Amino acid sequence: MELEGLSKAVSSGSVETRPEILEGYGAGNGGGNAAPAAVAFPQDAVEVRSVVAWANDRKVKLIPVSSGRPHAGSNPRGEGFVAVDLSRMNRVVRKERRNRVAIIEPGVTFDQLQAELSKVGLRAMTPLVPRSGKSVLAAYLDRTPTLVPRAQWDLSDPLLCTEVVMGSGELFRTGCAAGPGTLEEQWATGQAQKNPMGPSAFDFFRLVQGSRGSMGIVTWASFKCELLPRAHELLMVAAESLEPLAEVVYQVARARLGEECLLLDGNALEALTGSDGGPSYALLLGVAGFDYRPDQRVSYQRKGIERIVQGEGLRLSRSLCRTGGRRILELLSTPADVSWKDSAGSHLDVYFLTTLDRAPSLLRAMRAGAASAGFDPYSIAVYVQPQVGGRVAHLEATLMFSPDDRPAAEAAAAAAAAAAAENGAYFSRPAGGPPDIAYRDRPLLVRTLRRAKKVFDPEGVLNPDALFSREVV
Amino acid sequence: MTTTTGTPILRDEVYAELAGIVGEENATREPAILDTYAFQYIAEIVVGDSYMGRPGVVVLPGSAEEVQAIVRLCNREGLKYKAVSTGWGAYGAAPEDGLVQLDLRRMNRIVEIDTRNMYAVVEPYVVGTTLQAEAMKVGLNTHIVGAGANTSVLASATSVMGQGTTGVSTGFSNRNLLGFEWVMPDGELLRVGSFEDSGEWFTGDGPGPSLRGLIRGFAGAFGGLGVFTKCAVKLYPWYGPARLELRGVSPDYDLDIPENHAAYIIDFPGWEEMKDFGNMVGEAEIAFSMCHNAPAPAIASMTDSNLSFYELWKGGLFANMKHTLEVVITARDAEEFAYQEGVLRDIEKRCRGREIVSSHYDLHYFADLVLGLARGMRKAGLRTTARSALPILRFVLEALRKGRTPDAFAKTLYLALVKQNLQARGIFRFGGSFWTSMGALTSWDCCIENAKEGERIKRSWIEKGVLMDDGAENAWGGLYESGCYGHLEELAVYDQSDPVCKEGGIGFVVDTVKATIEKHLAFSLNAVGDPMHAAYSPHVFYYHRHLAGIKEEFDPGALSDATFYIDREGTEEFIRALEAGEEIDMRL
Ligand SMILES: Cc1cc2nc3c(=O)[nH]c(=O)nc-3n(C[C@H](O)[C@H](O)[C@H](O)COP(=O)(O)OP(=O)(O)OC[C@H]3O[C@@H](n4cnc5c(N)ncnc54)[C@H](O)[C@@H]3O)c2cc1C
Ligand SMILES: Cc1cc2nc3c(=O)[nH]c(=O)nc-3n(C[C@H](O)[C@H](O)[C@H](O)COP(=O)(O)OP(=O)(O)OC[C@H]3O[C@@H](n4cnc5c(N)ncnc54)[C@H](O)[C@@H]3O)c2cc1C
Repeated sequence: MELEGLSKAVSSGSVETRPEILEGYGAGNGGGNAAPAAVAFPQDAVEVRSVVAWANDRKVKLIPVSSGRPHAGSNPRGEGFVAVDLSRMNRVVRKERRNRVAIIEPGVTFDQLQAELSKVGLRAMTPLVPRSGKSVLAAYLDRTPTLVPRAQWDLSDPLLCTEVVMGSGELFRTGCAAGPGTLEEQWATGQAQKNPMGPSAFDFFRLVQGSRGSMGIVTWASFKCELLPRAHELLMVAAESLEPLAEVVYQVARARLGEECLLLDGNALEALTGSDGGPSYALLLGVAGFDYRPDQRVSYQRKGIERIVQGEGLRLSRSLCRTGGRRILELLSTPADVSWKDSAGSHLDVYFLTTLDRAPSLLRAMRAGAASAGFDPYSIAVYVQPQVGGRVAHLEATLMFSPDDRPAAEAAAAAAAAAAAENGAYFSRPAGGPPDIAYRDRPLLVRTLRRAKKVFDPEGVLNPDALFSREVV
Repeated sequence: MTTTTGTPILRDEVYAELAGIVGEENATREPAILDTYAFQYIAEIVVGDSYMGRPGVVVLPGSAEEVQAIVRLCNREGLKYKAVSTGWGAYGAAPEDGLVQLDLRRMNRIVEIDTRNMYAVVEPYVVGTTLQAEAMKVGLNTHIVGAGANTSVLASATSVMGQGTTGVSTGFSNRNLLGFEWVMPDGELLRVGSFEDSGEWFTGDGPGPSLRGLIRGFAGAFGGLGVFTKCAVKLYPWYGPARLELRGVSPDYDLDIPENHAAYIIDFPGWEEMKDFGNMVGEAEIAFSMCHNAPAPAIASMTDSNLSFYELWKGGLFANMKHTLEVVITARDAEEFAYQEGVLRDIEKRCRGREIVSSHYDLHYFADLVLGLARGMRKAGLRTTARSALPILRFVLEALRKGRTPDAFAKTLYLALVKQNLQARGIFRFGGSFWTSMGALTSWDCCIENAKEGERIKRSWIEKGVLMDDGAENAWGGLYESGCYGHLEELAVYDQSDPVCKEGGIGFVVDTVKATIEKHLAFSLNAVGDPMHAAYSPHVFYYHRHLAGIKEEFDPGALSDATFYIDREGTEEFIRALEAGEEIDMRL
């Protein structure tokens, strides 16, 4: 590949071709992906545009990467592409208490962000135990579930406005950040880039989100922040099965009580806390008070939740896996160097969306699927994350295994995913299951997505195989 | 054969084929009926005439399959078509004659209410009030736009905008849209979201990118991108009774405000305190509704005739009490109510707010009422206060004679905000019509700046005699999503039969558009249609190119009427004219 033009597109020394560096963007932990021909590290949107222009000229495929340490196998990718690593663009552009908002570049990590936000009395919504070095923007761009369903009005939350370089090379801004006026001019009239809609009659950010880098490269984004609690505690409920806990979640969601709200099974809890003795299933529910009457808020919310829990014949637990609520609360959103999922050495995930009432039967189907492939169904770790105020449930099944058992585990994960799909699982993020699982029988959907991509990336330079294979239908 | 305006007249064979699809009784070419689709609210501002174009035919399909067959036929014959659900404005029609109008009123079923997962699936003619009544039976509620409870839920969610008075707790129509069923411009039928895989409509996003982003943004395509035949919308918890029992007859409704619910109008010293109050109430998540209605429409909705409105208004005191916000609390139980009202009053104190209307009357309220009125009188001055005193006294005595209790205003307010049933009363009755402006969805602080600027511009148009004198401050809007963003639009009322108003009204709109661009007051809700795109797009990353890209890719024949959506050529012609320093006619 001719890379001279690429070197000109970015500042000097910002193109890497050393094999040992490229390796890191390829196969990783057994993901089996090809390494890129080069990695470019743009410093700003101007350089991103130059790289995209170069790629359009040369018909070279680009794959954006924001997390300094990309997940193994993040993308099904062929050969002969260039990775665009945005991790050096890592400024927190703005953080603002009054409007509860921050603007960040792609390289900003959860560790870095939280330290900055707490200074102004805010916090960011995190996925369950984000890995250290994980890009906040990449997580939000992938609709990775966060822990507080009450704060999530739309599945797209907390992502709001974006600046994005389209596959065509054009620079664009979405939501009210688009203008009229520069960001500075908008700030001067009290604006805060918090309306994600538009501009006009399309939501380009919705097409970029979930596209795995195939519609545009985001160079900054604003997102909703929540207030830092003044009082905050975790309520925990253990149960023999998922059903009564799901019932509690429904009632709590109806009453708009609580903050963090998630369900874990014993395997997940044990791996997360590093202690054994986990219950079959547990519900974790944060309650908090903020700037106004924090203790009164915690008190009435706690009472409301207790009534619901008792109504289901359950009671609150003081600790789970010999770990108290305060410690578990801390564990949930603190970035970790080593994934809790790797306690056996290695892991594979199957994840999709459903509703809470259907989660138990889907779980049974997945267990049966994994068992049919010879995997111990009761060693699967389960995480259910209610989203959008309890209307949607992210169901995540993790197969934990020792690295030697990978082939068997892969077969079991595929069988579990197939069983889930057969029973109505919705693979809204296509990487949650085996390649093409979300698109196999949907020719019109595939055609529509291809047409949409053509509008914004006419030459198809951005991560063209990110969503489905060429032969999908 | 063509009409006087040059559009082809529908051939008999094509009419017969259309009638064959929907049944004879559901198709018509009767001029008298066709004209009812052309006589539209704000047509005089949009096209400078009381009538939009007359459709060539109206068909009433009864199912998505029939819609598909009609759209395919239009594609085969090269006919323009446009869907309409409830038909509240000019945007349901086109300026030129001859299009195939799909009136979706037969598709009026609530397909499903998923009580546990809090969403509903509706067809196009399900209106806000119907869905609300059904939802309340199961402890849920729906977002209803400010247009009123009698407009289509689906039209707002898929195709128009979505501002409504309860947005702080029920969001915005764009954001409430889950999945949808879409007869695409070429007649293909796509179900977007979770339904195809799961048989349930709980989300509209994915797999992968969300196609919600293709069909709408801040605004929708206004019929310019095919036809939506079904959609799922989020429902929200409702902590009131299964049925709100109304007594009396329109417009004098009465009801009992449910236990642990309350309604307030809070008066402030000025705009800055209103900014603080909105931000604080939003983030405290205590309000079911938090919005602003200007004094004129507020009094209009509390009086039963234009005469009684005018009697109260002409003294001038109320025009001086414009710094107000309305709040409704709907707590689940007494404990939650105590918390929410406690926080509300803490915030009032910090912002020097005074409850001048309250359904929850206690000593605090009566003290506030006296102090709030005193503040209004101080702002108004002695003379105005004196002029206003007698009519107010008369109004109060009349109300007492009718048996009204002191919380009568609060009840009217509660009804207006919860049921959205007073829109027409509050805004149409002054001059027969109204226009709106400003109204960007943005931070609450900037919304207030929009209201201030809108008032300033409007005053000059009132002085010119084009707009009615509604006190100039006639902003309407509120918060959305716990105060994540808000909107305040500047309403303007005018006499639609008066040529001066008809001709001049657009001038007011143009001034507000210029102000939002020059002063960076965010993207106005008027930015619909080619001339408006031309005004905004060069300041907003030339967005029209991408919007036109979508239109051209999915509707290359431009058959789904795009008058209120986008035409690249049209928009660029206007942009060239603006760049050449010409004034362009903002009418379509
Ligand atoms: C092996 C594996 C297991 C996973 N398991 C789970 C799981 O159990 N549960 C779960 O919820 N999620 C899971 N995920 C998804 C993962 O959490 C998300 O992909 C993630 O949040 C973002 O990934 P990343 O940190 O690796 O970032 P990256 O690899 O940097 O980016 C992720 C995607 O976004 C694109 N992208 C990155 N930056 C930009 C940008 N600035 N502009 C445009 N596009 C960009 C990339 O091209 C890529 O397609 C898993 C992913 C993998 C690969
Ligand atoms: C007095 C008044 C106040 C208003 N206030 C508000 C407000 O506060 N907030 C707000 O959001 N809007 C408001 N509007 C605008 C608009 O009327 C509303 O958004 C309304 O809810 C949509 O209902 P409608 O009857 O206008 O819809 P319709 O007339 O049915 O349609 C409106 C538009 O959507 C298209 N459309 C409708 N159904 C379909 C379909 N099934 N498929 C494809 N396209 C379709 C039509 O072609 C048309 O362009 C107001 C209008 C009036 C007259």
